[in-house]
Amino acid sequence: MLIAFLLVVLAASVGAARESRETFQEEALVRPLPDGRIAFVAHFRQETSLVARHHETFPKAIAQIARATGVADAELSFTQGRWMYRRWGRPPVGAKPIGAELWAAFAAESDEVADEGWANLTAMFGGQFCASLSALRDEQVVVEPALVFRPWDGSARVDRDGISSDNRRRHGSLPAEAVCTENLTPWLKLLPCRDRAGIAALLGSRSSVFGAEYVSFTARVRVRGDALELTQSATLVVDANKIAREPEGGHRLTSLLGVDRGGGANGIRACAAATSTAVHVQTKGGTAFAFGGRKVHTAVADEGRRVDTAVAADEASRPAWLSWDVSAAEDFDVAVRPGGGDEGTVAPELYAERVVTGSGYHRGGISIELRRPEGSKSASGTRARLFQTLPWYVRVFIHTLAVEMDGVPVPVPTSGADVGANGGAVEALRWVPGVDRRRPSTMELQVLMPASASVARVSFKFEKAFLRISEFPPDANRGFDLPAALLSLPPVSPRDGHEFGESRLLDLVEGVASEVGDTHSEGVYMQGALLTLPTPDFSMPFNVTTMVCTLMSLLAGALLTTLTRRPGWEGFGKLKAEQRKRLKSLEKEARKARAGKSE
Amino acid sequence: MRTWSALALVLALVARATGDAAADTPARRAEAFFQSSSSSPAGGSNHTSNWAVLVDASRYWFNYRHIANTLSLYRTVKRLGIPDSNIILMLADDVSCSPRNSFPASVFGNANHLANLYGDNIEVDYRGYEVTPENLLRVLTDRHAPGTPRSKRLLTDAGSNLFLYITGHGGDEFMKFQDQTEIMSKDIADALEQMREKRRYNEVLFIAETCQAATLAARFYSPGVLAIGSSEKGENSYSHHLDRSIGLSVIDRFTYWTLEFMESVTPHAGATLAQWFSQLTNHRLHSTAKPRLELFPRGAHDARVTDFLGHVSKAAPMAGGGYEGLSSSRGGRVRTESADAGDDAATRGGDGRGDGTGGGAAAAAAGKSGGEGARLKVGDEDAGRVPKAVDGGWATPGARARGEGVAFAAVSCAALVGAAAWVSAKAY
Repeated sequence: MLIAFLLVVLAASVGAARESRETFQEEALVRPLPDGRIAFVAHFRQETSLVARHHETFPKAIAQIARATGVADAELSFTQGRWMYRRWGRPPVGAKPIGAELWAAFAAESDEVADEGWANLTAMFGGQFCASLSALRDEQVVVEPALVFRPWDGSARVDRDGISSDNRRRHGSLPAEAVCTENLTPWLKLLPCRDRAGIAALLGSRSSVFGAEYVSFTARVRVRGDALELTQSATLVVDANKIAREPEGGHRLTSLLGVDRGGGANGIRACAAATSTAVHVQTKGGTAFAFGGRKVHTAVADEGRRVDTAVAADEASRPAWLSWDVSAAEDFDVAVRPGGGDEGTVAPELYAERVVTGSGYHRGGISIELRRPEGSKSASGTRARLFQTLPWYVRVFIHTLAVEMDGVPVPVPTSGADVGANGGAVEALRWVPGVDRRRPSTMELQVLMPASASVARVSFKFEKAFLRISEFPPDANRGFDLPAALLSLPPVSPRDGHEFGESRLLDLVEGVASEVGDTHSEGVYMQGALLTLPTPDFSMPFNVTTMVCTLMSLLAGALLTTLTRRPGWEGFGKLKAEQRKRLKSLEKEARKARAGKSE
Repeated sequence: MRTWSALALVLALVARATGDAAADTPARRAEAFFQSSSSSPAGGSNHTSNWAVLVDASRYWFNYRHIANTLSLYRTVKRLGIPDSNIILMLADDVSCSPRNSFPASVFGNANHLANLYGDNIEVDYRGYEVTPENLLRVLTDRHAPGTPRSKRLLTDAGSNLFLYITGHGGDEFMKFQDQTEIMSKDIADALEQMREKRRYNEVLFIAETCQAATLAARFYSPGVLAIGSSEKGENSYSHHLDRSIGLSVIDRFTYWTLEFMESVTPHAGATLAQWFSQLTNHRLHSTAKPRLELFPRGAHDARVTDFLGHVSKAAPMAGGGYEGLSSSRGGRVRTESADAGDDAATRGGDGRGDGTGGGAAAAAAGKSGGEGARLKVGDEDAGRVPKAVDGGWATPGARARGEGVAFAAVSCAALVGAAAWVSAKAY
């Protein structure tokens, strides 16, 4: 009996061990930017089985959320600052819009199920990451994208039917959301070693992370069959000019990120739970020195002791990567010397900028400019998708939508049937008008920018709605943040000789997702915009109350007077007083007379 | 893992054996347990868990000091052992990562910058626009929209001691939220009564740091509530000192002197509320902080600071007895299978926010901050000559509070009606 029991226990534990095969990969990337700044990317990927009831390193909270919400794919991002495309080129890992953004795909048979999943997801993520994500449950901010936030297929299919049942997407963003320690700490707590060891230890100094010029951290939860995957990625842009240099002339990563504690054990110590730990440095024109670690996959390999490698990358070659496997390292650090040119940075296929036009409180407009970088040529033109969602109080006049190529107007289809029919530059248009207090408006546009054109401009006009007094936020006079518009570009073709599967992070940086067939498009977010709405003086209701009371009381008084006063009564009081006076004198005389008589 | 469970099993068996060896009758053990209560670390209180609701009701950068006030108390309750899962922290604005803050991710309550009140491990449960009177009342009465995460709920029971702290701009019986809405003393009083009816608290310590703060507790009528405000009716509350590198007053007087006292409190020292309140003199505060004790018969002399701000409570006796009430402090050395520890584990498991380092971090903080009480005194002498910020409603540069507007309108309305009546009577 006992033996049988023990056997069962043993079998169960063996089964558990097999089912909880979990992986955790951590990687970091350093890229010097042309203006003396340094971009740092930390990338973490954890994988487990969705059905596993026990997890060794994978965060239980995420597994529970994935199971409870039925989510197939979701990405949450927190961002502070703006990625400067013109100065810094294409970001290593997609830049995100300011504030918080969440999108999710649900494998749900109906929209109701997906909506419920979305409501749960926002509440759970909001609790998990200490953010006001519950505001995204509001139907006023949720949209369903059809063209973007999905693998790039390049076709112009925009009908609502294109949304297949296993692919119901929801998107919402909070451009005014504050991003601070309380968001980063739970994000770090999802990692097996938190911020105590491994790459994540480089994010240990909160003041350095939030003192960076651009900070963005994302968490992506994905379900693929039985596998549950959590990918976390953090991007920082640090101004290296403010930080002391090493004697060798570079900046140590630890001092850049403010985690330099001085003394002996100072560098990166791999997280014991990690299946792999790697650091990559992009050094075209620049130099990198490593302290400790084992170098892999570099153009020039040179093993040494203290200063391990000093490689001046070949100027002629494409961006060169130096990679170190630091799984076994006790004290790894890398010093980077920026080259000072435009080395290593690649401009995106198109720059995108959005401005709010018009003046006054009533009408306004939005103009989006897509500009090809100087000197870049495209043989067959560029296909781009534009995603713009606006709150309901921005009432867009869709008939004013105009598209220009180099200043020449291009016909815009007015109905779905016209789309792409006349071979116009606007290949697809999906327009979901907003409904007051119910739904935001969504515009999705696919534009083919000819190879000859250098600037495309999309513009439209809108009217601002009046809000009720209870709908204004406390800081209404600051203005209302409009969600960032997104330009979605075709996937970037990888560099010649890039080998997939070696590093997830490098696959991402090269512009391809690691999975075959899941080529993700390149997203360029435009800057946020502030819109001034007609904002009342909030003491107005009380002024009105006072005013009305004044008028009412004056009216009531006048009315009372009119009702009670009679023309015949003019001088009545005086008459009476005179009569009374006379009566009194008469009485007096009578009394006197009576007294005289009695004498 | 298995080694540990085996060890635990062995320990449990040993405990059981020793328990059996001490041949007490259950009645005697129970008697001994209840007699021991007076000498237990929890003092005269018979609560089983501690919760804190800390509210900063002010938005905007120039109200930095209110956020610093709230975070001072957050730091204190966390240092004294209340875990994040038992703290509801409401901050109406984000000053720590505000572009105006030259010290990113930091909030200082003292110009000496010795203690970063924001810390590395903060959990803000309600922030920004979410900080409203409605949400505060929802938290107190636990009436939430379906799907509200556990981290945003106050999961107290009849054995819970609640520490409720509100700071911001207020006036006679009201407190402004974000310069837009407001909560009245009556609202809080009714919410507390509802909590009592639902058996959601054992005792409550209510603190208001605002102008005329004592009036915010004036309408309270539920038993077991001890209230103290930073000033009496008709008095202003003042800020303590200015930090020139931040460019603002960074803390208010009541909280400054409270923090000053609390930094010397350790979880097991047994400091009483009366000792704390005796530190809050008119000389230091420039206002009168007088506790309202009529709803709190136990008195401030018997109540310990850790009854409300700490996580020290009596534990249920284990089989075998033989010990007096044990302390179950999150930051302390002793950990027992007490009722609130189980409660905690359930909470943490439920909201999936595993906070394994919480205890360790709190312990570290406790160790680290021991010596800071004395150092926090710097900047004190500065206080005399810096401009003081006042927490009165009218002193705010923002819009007038709605309630004041209504009152103003009502008064002027009445006055005008009276005047009109007089005019018409005169005419008549």
